[in-house]
Amino acid sequence: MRNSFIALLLFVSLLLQGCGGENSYDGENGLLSSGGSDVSEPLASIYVLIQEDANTTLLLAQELDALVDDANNSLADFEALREKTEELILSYKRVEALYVAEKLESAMTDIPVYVEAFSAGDIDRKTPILNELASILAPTNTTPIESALYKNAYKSITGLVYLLYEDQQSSATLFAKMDTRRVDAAKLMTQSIVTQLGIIESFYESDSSFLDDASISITILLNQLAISSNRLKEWRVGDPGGLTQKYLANPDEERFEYWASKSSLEAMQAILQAHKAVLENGLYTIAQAGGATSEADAIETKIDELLALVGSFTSPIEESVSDAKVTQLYNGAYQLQVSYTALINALNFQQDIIEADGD
Amino acid sequence: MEYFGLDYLASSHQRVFWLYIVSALALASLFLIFAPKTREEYKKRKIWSHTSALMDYKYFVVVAFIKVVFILPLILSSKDVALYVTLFMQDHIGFVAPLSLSKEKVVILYTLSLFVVGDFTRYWLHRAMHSVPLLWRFHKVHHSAEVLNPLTFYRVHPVENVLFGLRYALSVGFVTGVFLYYFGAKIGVIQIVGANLFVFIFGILGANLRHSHIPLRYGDVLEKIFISPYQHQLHHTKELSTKNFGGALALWDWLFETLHIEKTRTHLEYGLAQERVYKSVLEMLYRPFCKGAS
Repeated sequence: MRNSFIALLLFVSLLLQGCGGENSYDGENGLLSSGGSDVSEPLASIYVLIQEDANTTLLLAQELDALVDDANNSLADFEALREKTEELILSYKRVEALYVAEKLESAMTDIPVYVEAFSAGDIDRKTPILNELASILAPTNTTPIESALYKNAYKSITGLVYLLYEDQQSSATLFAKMDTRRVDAAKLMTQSIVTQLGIIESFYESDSSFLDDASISITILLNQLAISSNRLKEWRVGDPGGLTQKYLANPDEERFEYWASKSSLEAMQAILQAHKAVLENGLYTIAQAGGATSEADAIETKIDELLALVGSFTSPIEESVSDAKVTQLYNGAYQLQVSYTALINALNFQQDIIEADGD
Repeated sequence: MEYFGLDYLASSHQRVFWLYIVSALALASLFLIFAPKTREEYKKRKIWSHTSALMDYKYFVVVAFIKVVFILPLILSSKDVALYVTLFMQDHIGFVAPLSLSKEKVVILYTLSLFVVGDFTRYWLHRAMHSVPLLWRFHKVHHSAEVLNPLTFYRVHPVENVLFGLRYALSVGFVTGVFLYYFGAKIGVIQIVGANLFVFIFGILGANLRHSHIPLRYGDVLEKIFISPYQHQLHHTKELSTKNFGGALALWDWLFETLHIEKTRTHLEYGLAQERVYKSVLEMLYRPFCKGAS
């Protein structure tokens, strides 16, 4: 009896000593090993979302391309073209926010730069591109438009926005300038945009590698969301607001992403909505499976707060660069980025306690 | 229930993981078959029923409860440290998009870094436990063992447990934080049955024989890189306790001139030189706090 008691005591003690064993980094298996959860379903839902966004954006680009032919028919046609362009931009922002293709296939890395020249982290209207476009589009320029628009950057959304809005000019002013050269240029631009978006859409349709390895897919997705939130904070809000190290105390509304069309705020909204959609369509479930519910909740709350803040602007952000709300947006986007970092961190750890390693 | 680690015997992070025990038993059996002197040593010294061993068993039981009730709630989480380090770097160096190293390479690099940094900090904390008088008060509870058995591994004062827990949280947290900063969600660990590759190798190569009387050696060359069970046994002797502080790597001992390598001796005297032995578990727990205990 006594021996059995001692054996039992030792056994229980051994179990308690084992408590420290969980203080170990679980690495790539941290998420998936949690309760043996299968995350393939939520990942598939997220991929469907990515595919749908790419598909919708391509359709919009094709519709836009069709509208270009009538761009100088009437002011109404020209305004319809501008509206469709804005629609395309907002749809493309969702594709851009969730752009995982470059991590799945290196050939897809440069496509976003071909779609939009101002997509590499620097929105500088004083770069030569816009001046060069002004020269190319000038009625006095005799170089054939196909030759003049030789750079991919000219034929991107950046070029099209310049052509349709220039320096926040009214539709009437620009409609008056819509000669054949500009219509041809717009056509070349939309065709190029359609081609590039077609490459993205085809890739997502034909490539299923995102669904092959959950660990890698989640890695790619989370990194992309963290990058997207950082870009929102840094160059979509911080740079124009004079809040980043680069432009500290030097705000300039012309640095807003869509200063010319005054749709920067809507672009931010589209990006945040893409983040929300990913969370609601699978990421939250994945976080739950990995024991990171509180981190996912924090992200959800932050996205909702940011969306509310974006919706509270009463005038275009391009006219409110010094508004305190810009600083709030910057801080909120920073907290969103931190929340993604916290989620990445949380998904990679098991329960973390103590290691008994005294020697 | 997570805190009760009921599945610890199946947990390869644990020194008492079943495979490590089996491997230690296999190595020990082989050794005992081919080294009759060691077999004699076990019989002669009554290793398993020695007063010191009995103290190990009792201490093991008491400290298990102390650990769950008092230590676990206090311990710093490496997860929190990692997040703090990443955010600190993001704030002070700036956000960087994850570097374009393949996931496989990142995982190899991260696994190795965790092991090397972890072992390095372990060496220095262990060395400090010997050289700082206040810390030695607590660490000598471990060194008071006059015979060694796998449970001697747990003959560690709770204060030392907290210090090693802190060391673990800071080192793993720091390495993870740096990797999260540069590689985002790409990080991961090469695992074998759920343990870091190197921890597994260390476990399978007889980690449980460190606290035993099986003088397993790796040879003069390898013992400059990896600490053999025999080298750790030498560390437990009265005359060589300021040598061989290494956890898994002997490299640190070699670099910082605390390495000791010697041919196998059958009889080693373990315990504290010229010091009163602890008479009870209670004494092991309270005496380090008393003045003049060093």
